[in-house]
Amino acid sequence: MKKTGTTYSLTKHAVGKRGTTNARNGRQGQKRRGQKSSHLHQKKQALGKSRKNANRLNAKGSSETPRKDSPKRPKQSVRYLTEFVPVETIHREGPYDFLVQHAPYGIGIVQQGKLVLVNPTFAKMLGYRSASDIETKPITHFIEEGSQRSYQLLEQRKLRGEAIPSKFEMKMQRTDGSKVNVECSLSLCIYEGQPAVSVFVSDITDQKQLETRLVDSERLFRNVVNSMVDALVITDLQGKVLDVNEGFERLTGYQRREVFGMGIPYPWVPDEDLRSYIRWLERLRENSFLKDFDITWRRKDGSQIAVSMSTTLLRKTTGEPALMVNIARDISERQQAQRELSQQVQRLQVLYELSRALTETWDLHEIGVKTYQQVKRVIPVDAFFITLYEENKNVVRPIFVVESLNGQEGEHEQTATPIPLEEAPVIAKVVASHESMLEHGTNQKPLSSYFPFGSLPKPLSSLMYVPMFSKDRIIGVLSAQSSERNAYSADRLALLESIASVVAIAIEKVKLYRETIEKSQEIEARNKELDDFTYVVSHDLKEPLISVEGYVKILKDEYGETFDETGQQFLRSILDACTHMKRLIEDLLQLSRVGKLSEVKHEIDLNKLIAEVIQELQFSIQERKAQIVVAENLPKVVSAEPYVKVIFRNLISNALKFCDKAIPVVEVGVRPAESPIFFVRDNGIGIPPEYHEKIFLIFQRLHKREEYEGTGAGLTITKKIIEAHGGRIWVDSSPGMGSTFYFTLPSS
Amino acid sequence: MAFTTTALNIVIIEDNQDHARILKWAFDQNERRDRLTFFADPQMALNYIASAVRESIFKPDLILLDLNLPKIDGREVLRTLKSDDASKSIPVVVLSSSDREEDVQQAYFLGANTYISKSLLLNQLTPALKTVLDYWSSIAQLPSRKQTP
Repeated sequence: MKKTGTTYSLTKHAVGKRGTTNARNGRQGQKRRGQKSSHLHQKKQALGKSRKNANRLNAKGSSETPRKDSPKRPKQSVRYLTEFVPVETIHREGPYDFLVQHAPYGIGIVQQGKLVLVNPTFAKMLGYRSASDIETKPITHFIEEGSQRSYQLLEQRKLRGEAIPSKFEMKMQRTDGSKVNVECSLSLCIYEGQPAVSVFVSDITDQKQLETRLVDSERLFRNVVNSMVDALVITDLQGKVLDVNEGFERLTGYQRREVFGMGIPYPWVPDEDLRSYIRWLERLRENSFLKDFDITWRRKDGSQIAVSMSTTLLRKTTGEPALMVNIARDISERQQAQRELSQQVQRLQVLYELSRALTETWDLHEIGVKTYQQVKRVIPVDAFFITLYEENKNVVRPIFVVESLNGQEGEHEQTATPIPLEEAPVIAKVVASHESMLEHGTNQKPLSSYFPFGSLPKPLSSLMYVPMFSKDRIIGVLSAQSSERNAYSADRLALLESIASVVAIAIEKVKLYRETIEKSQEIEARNKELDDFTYVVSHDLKEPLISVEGYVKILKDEYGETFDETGQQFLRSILDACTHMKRLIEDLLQLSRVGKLSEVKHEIDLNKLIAEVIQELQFSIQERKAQIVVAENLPKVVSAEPYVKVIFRNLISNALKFCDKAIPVVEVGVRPAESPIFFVRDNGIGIPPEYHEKIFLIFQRLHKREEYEGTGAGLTITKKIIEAHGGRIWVDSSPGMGSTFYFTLPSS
Repeated sequence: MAFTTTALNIVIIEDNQDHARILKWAFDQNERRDRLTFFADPQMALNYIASAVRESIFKPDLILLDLNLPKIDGREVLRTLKSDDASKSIPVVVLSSSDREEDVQQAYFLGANTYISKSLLLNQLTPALKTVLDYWSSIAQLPSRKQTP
């Protein structure tokens, strides 16, 4: 089958005239067609096809033909046909037929809605074996339901001679039920002398799929780009905006269509940042990828937003730069987070610095000053106070009250005055509830209503009251107040609570410190009193003793001859008693003086000092034939020499004294330790454990004076000297096993 | 030694009667005939010394001063004596029952010319007194000699 010599009778010019001059044009066209169609007629007749059809066409096309001949067709349609249908000759043989038979397109002729002639490609496309399978069937039979209506419309339009798209797509129904996407074009022709529509279809399933995939992938890509939180701006190399994503629209408030084609300067880059922005883009020459450029963008509404930009230079496959892709990330949240973080850090710092400052504070008022200094760094305050709660008196005692006005701070002075709790109802409430209070917007009475000194002109409308605890006991209330409305949040209250706990510890510490100082001063005073008493008493005791001794001396000198031997003996006994009494008194005096250990201290070479002591004790050492062994290189100690001498003299002479062995052996040494432990060891009579403490008490004697002479004050004096040095002394001993006295002294 | 034999005017300020008695006995042990004037009340002693110096009658050549005194402390008496132009040239021998180094030093610091411990009094008083008297009787003459011309 073949269409030949398809020559349209109408030129474009003619078409243009058609609408305006209906009837006349029609007639003219008819005449022209008549001339040309004679040729067709001849051909058709030669093919032996029915002339009747051809005639009918002619009859229909003729204006003379009455309308009733073809009542189903509108008159106009007929007229158009006669006017516009291209004149075709269909060949069933010859080279054209070959071409048609083997064309890759489906070609069919539709007459009266039926496929009257198809090529094999048409049939195969629809899944049929040969053309004859589908010929004579309505074409709509092979068109998918959804496409039927539009096809019919287009066919009718074509038949009416109206303009239709040269190509359109539709779906056709295959014999197996599957669909095939086709591209279709329609043209008019005469078949068997009757007007017909020739249909050309080509399978575009593959193309369609490809297209779908392309569309899908492009849509996907755009969705991805749009789903980005970050703003994306694609520009050419001059910075002209080619595309932006929805993130950009969200971030800046500018619409995509508004910014398309915009160049530098962009309205979203503030003027002051423009220079650095351009410099940033210029750096792309060296690096194809730049990142972390923090810049401020201006939104369409004028507000500002912090962004961090990264820019990529995209290149063509040839390596030539093509596009700039800018991605801007909203970092205002990050900056906010950073601000919050630095706020937290500052708060921690405040707490740290406060606790450090308060560590060195030993005064309550100073605690107030230092606390206020730190508090105002992180909390806005127009008034601030710390009061201590005295439970037994039910009063609060302000230790620090400050108010500030227009940047000037005024501290109240009479802060020591206690205030009954009933006059400070808010504080009373905090004390009773053990809870912090945060009040807002209330036109609270200013601070001065609780503290009858000074006042602020502005009412304090934000107030925080925080209790301070020592264990579970309330020791005071700390308050920050501001004339600003809503100046305080739960956050700030929590901060003030942390501060209050630091302050509470410091206050407790100061209280304890004061108590300790008071107590130790008391003890010191009592000790001094005792020492003074001892001194005075021993002094007073000395005077009559001197008298007694004096009189005995006079008696001996003046009346000695009148005494017999017994009388003389008694006089000697009185003098002996006096001597002993004098030694007791001297010991007491010495003891009382140890408390006033104020002599200049210096480094003492113990080996030298002990050698001197041994020299002083030379007489009794020789008398007892004793051996004194002193360790070499004893550590140096820092003290007043006379006292250290007393220690060693007393211990060594005791060791010599309380010994029942033929040869007393005394060992003086040291046990190395962080603070060296000295010892004096003997092979003497030893001390029962129950007396290990008692021997250090004054005038405690374990033996009769006749057995071992001495006053019983030596060890007491020794102990007092050692303790005055901050050292201690103890004994390790048992009867018959000798004794070892250990003691510590401050070493250099 | 011409001066040692000269009888001296000696003022003894001692509130303890026993000690005063023993001192008196000790003075009596030597052959000297010194004029001893005892005072138990330091204020009376100061008044006496002041008027004696002023009127040049029985002007003291030597003062023996106990530190442990009622009403006015011996140290205060010493300071008064040594700060008054009229009496500061009179030698003062401090007698004390204290052997404390500080007390001794303090006495010298306040202007004492000699310090004698009372505990040593009986054993030492006689020789000590002799030395003091020998020495101070010569020195004590100096101001009076100055005054004489």
